[in-house]
Amino acid sequence: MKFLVKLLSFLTLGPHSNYLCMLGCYTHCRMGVKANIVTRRKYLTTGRAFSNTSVDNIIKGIVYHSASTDVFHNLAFEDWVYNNLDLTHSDVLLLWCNSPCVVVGRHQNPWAECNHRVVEGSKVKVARRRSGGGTVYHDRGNLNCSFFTSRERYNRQKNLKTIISGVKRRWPLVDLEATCRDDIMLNKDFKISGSASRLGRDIAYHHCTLLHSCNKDMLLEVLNVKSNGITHKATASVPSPVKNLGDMDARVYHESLIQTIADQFYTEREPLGKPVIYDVDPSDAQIWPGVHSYREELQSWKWVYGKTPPFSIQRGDDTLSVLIHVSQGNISGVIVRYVSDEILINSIQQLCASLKGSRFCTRTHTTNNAVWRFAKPTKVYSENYEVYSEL
Amino acid sequence: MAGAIRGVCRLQPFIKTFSLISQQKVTAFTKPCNYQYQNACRSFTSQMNKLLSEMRFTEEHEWVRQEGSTPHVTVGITDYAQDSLGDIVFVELPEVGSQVVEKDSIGAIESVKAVSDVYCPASGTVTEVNTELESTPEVVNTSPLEDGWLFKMELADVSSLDTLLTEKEYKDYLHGLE
Repeated sequence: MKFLVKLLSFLTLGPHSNYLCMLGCYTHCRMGVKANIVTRRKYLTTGRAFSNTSVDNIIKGIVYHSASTDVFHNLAFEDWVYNNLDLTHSDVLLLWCNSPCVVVGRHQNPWAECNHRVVEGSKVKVARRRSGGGTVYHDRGNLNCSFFTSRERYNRQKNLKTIISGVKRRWPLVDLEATCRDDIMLNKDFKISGSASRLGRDIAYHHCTLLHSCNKDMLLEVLNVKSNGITHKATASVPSPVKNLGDMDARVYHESLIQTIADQFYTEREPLGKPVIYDVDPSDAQIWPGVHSYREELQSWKWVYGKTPPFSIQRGDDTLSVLIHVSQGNISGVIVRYVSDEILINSIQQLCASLKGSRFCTRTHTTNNAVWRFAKPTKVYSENYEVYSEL
Repeated sequence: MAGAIRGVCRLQPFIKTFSLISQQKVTAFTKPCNYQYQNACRSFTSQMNKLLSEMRFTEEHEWVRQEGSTPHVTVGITDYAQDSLGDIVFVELPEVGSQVVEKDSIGAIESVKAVSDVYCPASGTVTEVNTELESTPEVVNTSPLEDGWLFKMELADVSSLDTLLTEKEYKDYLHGLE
């Protein structure tokens, strides 16, 4: 039976295409909205690297939809496609969404970009992606679209046009526009999509968000970072007022959006196989060998926090101030400046020594406060002096 | 008529004098400035030509400059690369002391457009990184061949430089891309 299906797949795809995207059983089969192409869903159970060739230079395309909502699985799958597929003659569109999480850009400072007091202890995960750009909040109401192409065909405006054309064709009254910064604006004032990219030797990807029914209250709370004394040279986010597509038309939600965008994608490319959305399990190492190692790295503290560019954080007042230097996520130096009649140098130095080399986290803020409380003078004498304790 | 002619004749020396003065003024204003500018251009061009002739290149738009005939080289990205990237906001460099392998991705450059992987031109050990780029990454845009160098390394095999493109081969490669 497997052999027959395999034979059929080769006959369907033609002699030049070697990608096995047809094998497997119909575990999911949903009728999409009929536009020009009916997009059914199929579950991908086998696959291997593209090695397709084309003698007619027609670019083929395939749409994947991730069955996982784990941000690390999905980012790992992006890495897998980036490192393993040959996209000389094919494009891949990956559609995915995550459980609530914050995703910072490759060279950003997570402590400066999101409110860790809200995040810690909650179910909101913090992740760092491989591409650049600013910080985004993800939940089930935020669709991610990753366009994988060859380096030569990398074109962000074209990808955004695919999304906008698809949405407008189905919901003509929705006013969408792509800006020169590769954002998508709703009614010219509200940002519903931001972009980021990664460029390699032969392959490139452009991924963008699409807010359709995101929890805006949570978004604002998580990304609301008040002045916290951090000084850094990391890439900074550019905040914008946001809105959901679903606010304009209640028929816009995850399923209808992915069907619409997939339809538009397939009108612009020859489908590699059938013009369907393929559900993929990004955690399946049998189909995607090595994907677990990408996930382990992306989930590690060393990547999420240790990749942070060097920064410093200062707290204090006129009598006491504490300056902490952080490098690769670890405390590299502490400077305490205080005014007191009591000589507390040894105690302060012991406290600072215990901090040096340890991982920086919000608990350090508490430790910061502990230094402040410990050193605060209880009595004021007539003579005051300054003492610096530096490690 | 005679008076008029005389009047005209009288004007002409003034006109000639004025022309001479204006020409002299124009010459006095432009000649030294123009001369210095041309000299500066010639000096810069010859410096650049000398730099480029000493370099080897990769198809990933990196340049490699050997120090004498030692296995120590300096690596950076070409002017074509920095122009394609746009304004650079962050440069991620390999760690000093790390062993690197030819064609591996060993760093990244973030511009307002994207993050681009930096590939290792040859195998060896990283000996120094350009720490100035931490605070001024834009130097890679303004001086990609000199001050915007990325890192230095010690090659495992000096002969691996022979596999890289010469200046002419790299220029031909760029022509092919257009």
